[in-house]
Amino acid sequence: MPDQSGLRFAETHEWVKKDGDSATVGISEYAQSQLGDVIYLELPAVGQQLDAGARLGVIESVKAASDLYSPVTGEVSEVNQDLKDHPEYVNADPYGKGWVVKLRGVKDNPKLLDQNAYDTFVQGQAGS
Amino acid sequence: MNHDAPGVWRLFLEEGARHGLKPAGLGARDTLRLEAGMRLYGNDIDEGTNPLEAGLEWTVSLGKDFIGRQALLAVRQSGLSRKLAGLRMLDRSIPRHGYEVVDGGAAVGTVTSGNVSFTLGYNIGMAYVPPTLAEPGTRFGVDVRGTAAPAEVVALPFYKRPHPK
Repeated sequence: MPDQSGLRFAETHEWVKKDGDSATVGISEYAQSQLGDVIYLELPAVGQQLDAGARLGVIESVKAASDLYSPVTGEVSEVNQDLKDHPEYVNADPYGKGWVVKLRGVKDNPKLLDQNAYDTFVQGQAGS
Repeated sequence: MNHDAPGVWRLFLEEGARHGLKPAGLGARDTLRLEAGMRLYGNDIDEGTNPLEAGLEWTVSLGKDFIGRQALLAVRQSGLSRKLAGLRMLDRSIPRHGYEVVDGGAAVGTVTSGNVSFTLGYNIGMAYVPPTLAEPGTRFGVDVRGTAAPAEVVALPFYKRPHPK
């Protein structure tokens, strides 16, 4: 079980974990459960500058193609190459092997939710 | 909500288990019907399509009189302007309802259904294309978010269940 402490979430269901001014980004457990089997991902090029809320890529599942958004402002430093051959990692281990991109030069985004706030947000969505 | 529904559902699952009954969602059903080449009303056929271009001529008897017969005879006389074709994607892209078919840089048709075929191991779809592009083996692109993803026309249905012995 990957360490989920320190994760922050966007209302668009991406998570981000900061480490100094770098960060790892992925999609939440709730997001992967809603998407169903992930088939492939379109990911940005290393070096691409992203603003918080900007489109980061596309995640294609059996059910639909969905946009991914960057939860924070930063520059793409690495994309998870393993997802090319193993998109199912996003389903099986969204907080571990299923990470999507790493960013550097990351700025804080005060709008992000902590785990509890995100869980409450998701419950509100599920009930609606 | 009918309060008896959960009990009935559970009963089906319990009693059905020994017959191999399992719950299946709409996604599974849609995959199976597409593999079988079945046209879905609202997706592949609607008020704007005719049975000839949809490959459903077998469902109408032009020898009988019915509302629309004259219109269909006129279509047959003048030739089809488009035809529903089965597509096999040659990369990992998934064609989706509404995506454009592109050939030589121009939009020439529209995808009506598309999905992952778990049975076949590649992605499939159906699209209305000019009859000249509807022959199996023909290659063209499907515009997937601005990229022309390569596709090849294949015969429908995509999959036929082997006859039981």
